[in-house]
Amino acid sequence: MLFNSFEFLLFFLLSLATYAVTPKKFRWLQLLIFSYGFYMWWNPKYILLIVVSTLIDYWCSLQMGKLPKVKRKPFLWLSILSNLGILFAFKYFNFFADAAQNISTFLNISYSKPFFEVLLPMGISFYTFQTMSFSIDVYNDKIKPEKHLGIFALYVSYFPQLVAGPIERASHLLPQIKNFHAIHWSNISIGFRWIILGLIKKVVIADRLALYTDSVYNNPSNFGALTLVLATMFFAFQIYCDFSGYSDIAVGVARFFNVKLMENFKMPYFSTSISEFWKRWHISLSTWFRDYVYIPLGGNRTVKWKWYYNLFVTFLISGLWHGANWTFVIWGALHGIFLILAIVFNQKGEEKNTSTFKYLIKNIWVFMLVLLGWVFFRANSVNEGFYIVKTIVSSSWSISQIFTPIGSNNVYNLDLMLSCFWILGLLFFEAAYFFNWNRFKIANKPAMISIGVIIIFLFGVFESKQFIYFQF
Amino acid sequence: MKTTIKYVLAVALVLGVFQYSITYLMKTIKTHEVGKINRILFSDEKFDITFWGSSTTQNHFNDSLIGAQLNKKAFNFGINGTSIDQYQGLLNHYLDRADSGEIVVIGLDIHGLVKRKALYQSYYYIHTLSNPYLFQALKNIDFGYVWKSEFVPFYKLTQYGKHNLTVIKKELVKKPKLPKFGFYPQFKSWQSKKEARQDGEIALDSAYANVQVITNLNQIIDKGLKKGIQFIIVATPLFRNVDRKVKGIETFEKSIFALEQKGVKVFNFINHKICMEKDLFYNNTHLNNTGANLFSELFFEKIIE
Repeated sequence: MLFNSFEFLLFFLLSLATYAVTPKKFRWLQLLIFSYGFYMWWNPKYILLIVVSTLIDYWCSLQMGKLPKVKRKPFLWLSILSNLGILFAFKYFNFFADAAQNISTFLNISYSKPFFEVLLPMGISFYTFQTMSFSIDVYNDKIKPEKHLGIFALYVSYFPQLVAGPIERASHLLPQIKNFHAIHWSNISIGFRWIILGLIKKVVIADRLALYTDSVYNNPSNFGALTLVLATMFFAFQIYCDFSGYSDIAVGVARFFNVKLMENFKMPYFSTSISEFWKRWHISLSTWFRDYVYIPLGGNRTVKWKWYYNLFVTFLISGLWHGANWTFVIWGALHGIFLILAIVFNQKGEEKNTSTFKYLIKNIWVFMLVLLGWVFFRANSVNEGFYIVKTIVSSSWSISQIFTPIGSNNVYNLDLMLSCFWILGLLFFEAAYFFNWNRFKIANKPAMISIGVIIIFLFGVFESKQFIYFQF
Repeated sequence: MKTTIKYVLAVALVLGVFQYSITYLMKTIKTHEVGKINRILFSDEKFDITFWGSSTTQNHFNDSLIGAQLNKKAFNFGINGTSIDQYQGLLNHYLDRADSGEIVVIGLDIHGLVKRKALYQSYYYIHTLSNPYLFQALKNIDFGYVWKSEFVPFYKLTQYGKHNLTVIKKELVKKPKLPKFGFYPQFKSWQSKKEARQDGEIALDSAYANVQVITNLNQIIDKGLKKGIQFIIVATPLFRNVDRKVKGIETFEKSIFALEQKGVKVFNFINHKICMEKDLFYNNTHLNNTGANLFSELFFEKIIE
């Protein structure tokens, strides 16, 4: 069930209505039923994975809570291995089997590749990481184990953020969902604004950009260098609006139930360094990797080469988290390399008081690096990724190239025009907040919200396109 | 609270105006396939002979040529991608106003009796859903979409898009006259790439004869026959080189010949000698302009027979 579908609207209204009339002590059950229902709408069978993951982590956390820290390790490992096992079996098995096959062919060793035909469970990377963080936090005494199985199950499967995050920490989400506050008008108003903002990002901007991007990236050899550059720039904004749009809707939906989810994006394309970019992009995941991979590896409190190694490994795993494909691994590796190079060359970011010219140069440079990463992230294969980079660098550029996708795959002049218009609009809107241009801050004015609703209806692309991050 | 209600009403008003305007403008389209839909639904024009079917009707029956030869007023209502399953509502509505003695020709290619899983170019039909025949027919293909488009406030507006705006813009800018004929000739030669692809997929090339679709077709024919309307079913030409095998073609032919028992004429061109002439086709199921003109002549000869 997509957030931008009529079915979800009905589901959401029904969940709100039943929440309002359910006695407080049974609200956990009402929300749990709706959360499981939300997931089962996609594929009923796969709810078993969430149930298994929930039961194992619940039991492990209770056991850890009873024991002193030195004796907790077996339960921590049981929790981590079971979650990673589910993730490996359903997401990475075929990828690693392929890799093993390639290596054996290279070494001339006879090896018959096993194949596990399975549908990737939606949001598997999100809920497994969320429950793992719970077990690790219990192990580290950061939180107490949750004794109520139903509430713990709700924490794992809370429907606003179940399939594409934000990946919430138990210390932040659990106390909120346990309160089961009544629905309040002020929360409805705030939640509605978030939902409208998210829908504009998704159906008005991201899905419009996708028409051009998909047309080019699905047949890159048919297009010239400038088309590929423009498609990559469009993809940068498409993925941002798609994913941050989802997060905004999730924040808005949860807000109706008086739950404040964490902000997942903070205007990342205004960053002036790669490290700043990662403080602003997919914050719930980057902080997860920081806290549960990078710091346990030793972080930056070690010798330089080990620091670089820690950074690189963290980003490599982060790339793999996004998908079982070498394109994502390269994307992660590139970001790891960018960060290491920034440290080597002592690059400073986040200088808000710097001159406008300096700021712009740094910002554009960072954006170009991010674009290079997006080429591999979006490319259908590693070879195509390299082909795109090679064409951009070595082929001639001409303005007429940007119009070549028009007419193919239902891409119209209107799509190109609207895509450019919405990107400029988005940048202006975000710049008003980033640079504190008070005159242009518009989000809280009811008139602007009304205009937002009209824009969604008139300019939205409603062809049930999935959110990109659902596949992760 | 009062302010909120004011804003909600203002938004609803703006959206309502937009929805009404686009729906109104869509109903005024004269050209394009939307123009054909409008002509069936919103006009009382009379014809002596009409042609119904998908692109294989639209691109094959030269209504100007056939009309002139028969000295009858002819119009080709063929709409690209619209098999009987999707256009039965349009035909049903048309039969209500058709007069006794009128000839209705239904063109069927090997996919003509397929049960659709989704509406084709649904955005061209949104403005027609208040018509009970259209609503009923399209609902059977995609209930959710059709129901929401008709009954959920402003859902229609989310389904109107650039395709509609392009058609409306052309109509407003060019201000065209009502077309006399609905034949869309295709000035194309055989597309070698497509041939290679399709030849590689011979095993997948199937004829269809869905029971539900055939039942619906029978009901439409019964309704027309009661009014004294004559029906001709035409199995349109199919390019057949020596090795070409089409799965299910016997069932398809049997299904259409069964209609002869009702007094319907059936002209089968699937095995006709023009099916061996590659120069007359631009892909396996579609004739080019030369092929279409020759086919129209052959059709005329059959009628005279």
